Amino acid sequence: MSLSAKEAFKKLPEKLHNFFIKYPPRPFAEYSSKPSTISDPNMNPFLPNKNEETGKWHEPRFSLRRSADLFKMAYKFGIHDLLPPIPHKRFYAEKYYNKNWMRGVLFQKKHKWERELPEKLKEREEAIAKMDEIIAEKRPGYKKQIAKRNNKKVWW
Amino acid sequence: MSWNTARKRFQRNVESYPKALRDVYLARANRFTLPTFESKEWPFPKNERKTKTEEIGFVNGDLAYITEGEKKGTVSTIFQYSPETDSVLLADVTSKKLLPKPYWVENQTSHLVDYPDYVKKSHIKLAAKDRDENGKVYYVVADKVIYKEKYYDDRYKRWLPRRYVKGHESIEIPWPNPPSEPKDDYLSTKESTVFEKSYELQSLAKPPVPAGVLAELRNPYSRYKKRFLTEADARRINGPEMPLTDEQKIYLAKKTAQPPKVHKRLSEDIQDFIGARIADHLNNIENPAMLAHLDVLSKSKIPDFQKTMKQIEEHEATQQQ
Repeated sequence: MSLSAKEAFKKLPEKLHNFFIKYPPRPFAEYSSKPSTISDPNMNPFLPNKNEETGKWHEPRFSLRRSADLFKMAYKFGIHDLLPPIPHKRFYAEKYYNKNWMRGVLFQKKHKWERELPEKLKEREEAIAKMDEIIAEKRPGYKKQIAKRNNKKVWW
Repeated sequence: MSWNTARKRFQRNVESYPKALRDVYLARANRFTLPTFESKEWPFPKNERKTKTEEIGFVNGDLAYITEGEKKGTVSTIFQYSPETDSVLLADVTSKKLLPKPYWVENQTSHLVDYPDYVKKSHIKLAAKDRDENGKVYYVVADKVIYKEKYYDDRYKRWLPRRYVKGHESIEIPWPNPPSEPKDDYLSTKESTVFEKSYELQSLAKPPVPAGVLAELRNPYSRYKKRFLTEADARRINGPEMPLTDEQKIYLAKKTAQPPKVHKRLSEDIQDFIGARIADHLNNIENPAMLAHLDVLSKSKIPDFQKTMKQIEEHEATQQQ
């Protein structure tokens, strides 16, 4: 079953239809992606805009919740890019790919002893491997003991 | 239970203090008591006090065998239990105390009076009196008491457990007779008078109180029953309208001067564009559940859309005229 454009338009939910009556879809109208003034014809209803006469900032015409509602509904019908841009919000996969992770989540600080543990273990292993040389350096008589141990013959 | 917490809040709660501090307060309190009447121990906190008969184990009138102190080894009658100190007043345990003249009772001739002493509950054991076959009186002292089946005691007008000596459970220690029952005096009402029925409702159809009486009892001219408001009341209910500031007036004038914002129907172009995009998207969806969901979603209605369409239609109608 393939839908024609006329049939498909009838499927547009009232919420989106109402929005498009007030703010026509993107290629037919331009919307600024930055906060502008309330008198600006390209004013974005999802962003705060300034009243130049009074110098006061107006809250966005659509709250974050309502804008998310509109976007998600439009997304289900594949027309989310016709809405005015919502630069301050991310949705679905994009929201997770562009997430600003906390430093502590990406790299755990841990305790000091935990941070220094691998280095410490490595040093210890090296020291155990070179144990005879280190002792012989401090105690020259130990060389004899090493020689004796090396010359020890075993009957098997 | 009292809801009045204000009084308690400002009182000193000595029970919650440590023992050393409590002793200090006890000593301070004893400064104002009569000599030989000073209290030696701080009362138990309220939650530790025993108030139920079953918990205490005896009632007034029971016999007690004294195990400590001067009167050790004697049997006496309990005449009062004090839950504050968990101790009892016994009939025979008294000491001489000094009483100043203002506190003397009638027919008193000496400063020295016999005053009952508190004996700790742990220093007494429950005792009972009985006669053997020869009519000789003997006492039974219970080291411990156990309770068994309950029975209704008509003397106390309540259910009480039977008391037995632990280990010798054939020996029952009955509860003593309660202190003398209250007697009628010249002011008391007779029981027969209390139960006498002096008024009876004759008919449900007829009200018990004559209709005219109600108007006499209740005030028909009460201001709360009036259907009309006085001018003062009306003024109080409806506050005065605040005058607009100059800025507000200018703003409103500007608003009315501007032409009202009018919405238009989506043009054919836009409708086709949106329809094509949606058709593109929907034709690629294969999941029937998703399609069903979108179908339901597309049928959802909002009142705001109705309002917008009505406004558009009205505007179109005015333009045609």
